Amino acid sequence: MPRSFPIIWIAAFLVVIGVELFIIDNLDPYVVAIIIYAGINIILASSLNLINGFAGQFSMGHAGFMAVGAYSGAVVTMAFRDNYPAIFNEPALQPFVFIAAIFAGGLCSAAAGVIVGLPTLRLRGDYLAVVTLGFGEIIRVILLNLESVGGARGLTNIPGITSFFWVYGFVLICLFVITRLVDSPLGRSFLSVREDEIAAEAVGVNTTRSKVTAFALGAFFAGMAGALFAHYLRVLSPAIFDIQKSFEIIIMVVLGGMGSISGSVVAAVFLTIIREALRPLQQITGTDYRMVIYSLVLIVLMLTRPRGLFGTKEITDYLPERWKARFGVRRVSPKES
Amino acid sequence: MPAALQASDVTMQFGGLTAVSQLNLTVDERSIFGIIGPNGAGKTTVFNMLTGVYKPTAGRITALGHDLRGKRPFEVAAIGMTRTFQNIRLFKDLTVLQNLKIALDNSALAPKTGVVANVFRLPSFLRNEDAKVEKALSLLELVGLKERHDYAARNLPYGDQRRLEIARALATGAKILLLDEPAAGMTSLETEQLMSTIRTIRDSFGVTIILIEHDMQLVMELCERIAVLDYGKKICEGPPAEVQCDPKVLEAYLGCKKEG
Ligand SMILES: Nc1ncnc2c1ncn2[C@@H]1O[C@H](COP(=O)(O)OP(=O)(O)OP(=O)(O)O)[C@@H](O)[C@H]1O
Ligand SMILES: [Mg+2]
Repeated sequence: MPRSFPIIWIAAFLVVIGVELFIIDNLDPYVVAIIIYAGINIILASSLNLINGFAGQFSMGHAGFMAVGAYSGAVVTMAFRDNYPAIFNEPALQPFVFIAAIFAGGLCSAAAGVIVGLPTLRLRGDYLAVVTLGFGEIIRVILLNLESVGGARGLTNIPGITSFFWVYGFVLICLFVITRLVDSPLGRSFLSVREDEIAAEAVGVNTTRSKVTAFALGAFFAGMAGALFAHYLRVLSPAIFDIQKSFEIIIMVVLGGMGSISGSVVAAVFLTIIREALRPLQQITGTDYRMVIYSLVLIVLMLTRPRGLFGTKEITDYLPERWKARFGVRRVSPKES
Repeated sequence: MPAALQASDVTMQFGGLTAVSQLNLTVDERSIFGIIGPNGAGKTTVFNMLTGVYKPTAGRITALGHDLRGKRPFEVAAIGMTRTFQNIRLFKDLTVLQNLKIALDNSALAPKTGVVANVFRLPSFLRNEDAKVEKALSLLELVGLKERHDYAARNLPYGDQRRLEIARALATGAKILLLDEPAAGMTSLETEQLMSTIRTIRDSFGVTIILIEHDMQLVMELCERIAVLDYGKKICEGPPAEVQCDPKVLEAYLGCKKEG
């Protein structure tokens, strides 16, 4: 077998199919919902990590990208359903419509990513954070005033196509692409921009292109996550994609470790579960204490592990050397001395 | 011998301050050229203009047959001219090897592969990556860092960091190497080794070297020609022996006129 054969990924995909066929129907629907939200959050966190952790461009508008993908994806399937019901209702064809809708969500969001990426050419640090935060709000306000997608009332009656299989299928695609890009020239150019932009330019990295690409790629996957989300929840309203949503995703990235995909995955799952576990508290007290808890988690973390759970390490870094060789792990983490 | 680099009447003004004034430089191919001068004379500013970090207020720069007007640093690197920094700029959290790989990714020394080949790790990608590692290790060997290839750059001692920066610059496939105070902070033994490395780079890679340095022994032994800057103006240029005895140079360094 060639050493590049993605055996782990194929095994993971088979597990997803197996769970969809034999396990998911036997689970409590509430548990299934949590599992699905965890998957969507994995995509959101790891795609934001590409921008924030790998390329080092502190973006605070990820909910905006998610919103663009959610609305555009939903519009595509709804247009199909209303204009070509014969195609849409054909079970053999519907998955293709759905895949097209998810990619449409990703692409629209990527286009938004390019637009937001452009100011990053001039802005850094806090200034960039403020601009991206503003971008997220602009998207929300535009949707709020766009009557064709329901305005403040929101978009309803979206076909509920998203299932465990779809979410985790796309989780695998997203993680596959991101982890492999990170260990390729493109990913290394992101890292060089994060580490030292001036040095990166000096050794031939087109930092403009790298930064805009990072934004476009991160936005692409966030858009896909948004489209999956839209077809699960079946209703969208601009209020879902507020600053708080962006913060939630940032917290996942920071908690997991800026620059660690494994960290984003673990943190996304952990925080999705925490959030649900806290729901009773919200019902009893009538106030949303989630942000308080999130903030506490962050403060404790920053005091104990300032670089997040994983720092810039990946789970594969902890594998014994011979396993790394067998599974074709190429990543080498820096030796401390 | 053809000129590798030519600067004509290059001026750099920052507001009211003229950091470099009407500078003319011609550097021969495969030569080692020194730029010296007191602190604040404008030496680093010259490098910043040559590499496209600053746009000269006036004047024209050509390197390796290309007009550099409006070129950004990464484009200058692609033409074949790159630099090191006075205040070392490494990719600190990455390994020594990754530092070099980033340079190789963008250099003519290694072929480029498409995104699809990279994501699916097709044989072309893997071959290319292996070739980059091999190339990187051979460059690290040249500067004596091969054994430390998997260290985080920030964990290297100071002298090693300077050497790594030189190796990374070479990994871009540069034909002109600009070194900004490469011996700063080095022990005399390290400086000795550095001098032989610089000679090797010139002799076996055919690279033209322009260096800024305050270590006069290094400059006088290594450089074939030296330009002296003072207050942004070139006050003298020539072979070391000539420059050393020039009264204008002594005046610039000692700040007083030589009597008699
Ligand atoms: N970006 C800038 N904006 C304003 N002034 C600058 C800028 N860069 C350099 N200068 C000024 O230009 C002059 C020359 O600086 P430069 O760094 O080129 O000197 P240098 O010869 O490299 O000195 P040193 O030996 O201390 O490194 C200094 O007066 C410096 O303050
Ligand atoms: Mg200087």
